[in-house]
Amino acid sequence: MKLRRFQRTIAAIVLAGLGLVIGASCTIPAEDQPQPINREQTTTSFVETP
Amino acid sequence: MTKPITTRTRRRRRARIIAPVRRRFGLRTRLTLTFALGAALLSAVLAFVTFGLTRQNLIDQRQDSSMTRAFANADRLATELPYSSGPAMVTRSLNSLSHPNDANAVLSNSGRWYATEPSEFSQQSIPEALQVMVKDGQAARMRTPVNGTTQLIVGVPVVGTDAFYFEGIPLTDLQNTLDGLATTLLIAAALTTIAGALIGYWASRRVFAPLLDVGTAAGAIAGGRLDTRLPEGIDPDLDLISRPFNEMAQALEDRIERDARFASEVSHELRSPLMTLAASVEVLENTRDDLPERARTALALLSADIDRLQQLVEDLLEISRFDVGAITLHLEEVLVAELVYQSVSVLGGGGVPVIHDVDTDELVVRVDKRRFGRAIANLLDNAERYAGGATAVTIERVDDKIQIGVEDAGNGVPEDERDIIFDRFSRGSEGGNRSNDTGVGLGLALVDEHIRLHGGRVWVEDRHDGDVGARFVVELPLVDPPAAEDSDEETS
Repeated sequence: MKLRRFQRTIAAIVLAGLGLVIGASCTIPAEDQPQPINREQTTTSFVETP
Repeated sequence: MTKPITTRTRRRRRARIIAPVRRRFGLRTRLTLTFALGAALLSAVLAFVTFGLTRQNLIDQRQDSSMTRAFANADRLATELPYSSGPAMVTRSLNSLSHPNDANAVLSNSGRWYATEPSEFSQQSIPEALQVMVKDGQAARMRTPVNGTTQLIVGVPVVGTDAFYFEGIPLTDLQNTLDGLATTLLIAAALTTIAGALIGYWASRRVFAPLLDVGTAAGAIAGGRLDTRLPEGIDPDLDLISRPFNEMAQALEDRIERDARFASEVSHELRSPLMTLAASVEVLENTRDDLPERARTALALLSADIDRLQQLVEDLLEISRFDVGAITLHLEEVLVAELVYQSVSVLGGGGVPVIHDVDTDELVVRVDKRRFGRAIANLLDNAERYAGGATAVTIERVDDKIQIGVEDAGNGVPEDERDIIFDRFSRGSEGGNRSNDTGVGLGLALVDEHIRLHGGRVWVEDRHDGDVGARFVVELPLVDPPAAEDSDEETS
């Protein structure tokens, strides 16, 4: 009986954890630190067309 | 020091986990559940991967477009701010920038802050770390919660000025898109799981059909159809079951036939000398009065034993005919009440009342009259031998069957003997207690064989009226039974 209760508790914890993971993965995650970004420099050259 | 985990220990642990599952669910249910679980796992993994990749792709796209626009706006400010001499001109420059309706811009120019209006987005919404990084001359972005929603904030230093441009883009629409995608994937996963369970159920029915055939064939063999076999050569995998099963059935049939033939031959061999002995004893019986007292007693014992032996041989011959399938039924449609009356009266059971409902008068059964009579005779004889005689014979209709009960006032039959009492040479505890018992334990076995051959069954139970005693019930199917009606009871 004790073992069954223990198994139920473990199952409930696992399911709750799984629910939290699914819930968290469904939202867009916020970030703790800013991420530096670099502008991609592209050089475009033009020529006169006839 | 811990003991190493051996393979045996692992097996025991696994068995401890699996055994309760096996006890709770049948094989078919387990197979269905396995399919459903497999489909659920597969669809969950696919849903997670699809959702993860899509989410990352959408976020990257949104970030790229936002950064490109922020850089373009910062470039434009770099060309206009040097010529903007006051806050009004700075505000005009900001108003001329292009950005989506829901995006908000904040500018820090020479220590003064400007923000789009009306908006709850201001310099307080920008995290300190992002402000520091941008003020150090490094463009940066950050996803952060602002007023309960996640926003993407892009900060770009304005080249050639003391200004820093920030743009806040709410990601609510992206979140809505992802919520819709998650719901769709969840529904798809649920449908896939249901489909998996249905396929599992269908597969389990297909897979277990041959096993059910094995069960049906085993039941048929147990019911006496010894020539029942499983089809071979249809499926090489199923042949692994059907071939040994058929070999076992054949061996069983051979064995039973051999035993039956042996019993039959022995009985035949015994019958002739027994008849001679019986005739000789009869001659001696005719001169009984001339014999001395001790010889008369010996003659009585001899006569009783020869009768018993003759009965045994007759029963053995009859039962061996059942075993080899040499019994031919001469079936006739007869009124069941009339037949029971005849059977009881012919056997000298005139004193035994036959109790039945009036509506059973017209009920018809299809039986071999001789064999049916023999079965009733054996039951009455059994009551006579072990229970002081039958007290009543009842006829009752139960749905589309007729039940003929032979009741006695003996000690009854204990629960644990009610099945074995119909086995061959089984006489029950009551039979063994009688010193003058001349039965051999084949009478009830013959009743069982006779009734089974008629498509019926026989069993023993307690009397229904609550008195002590046994009630042997013969149940037979009715021929075209009319609708049942309530009627009065009749006794004869």
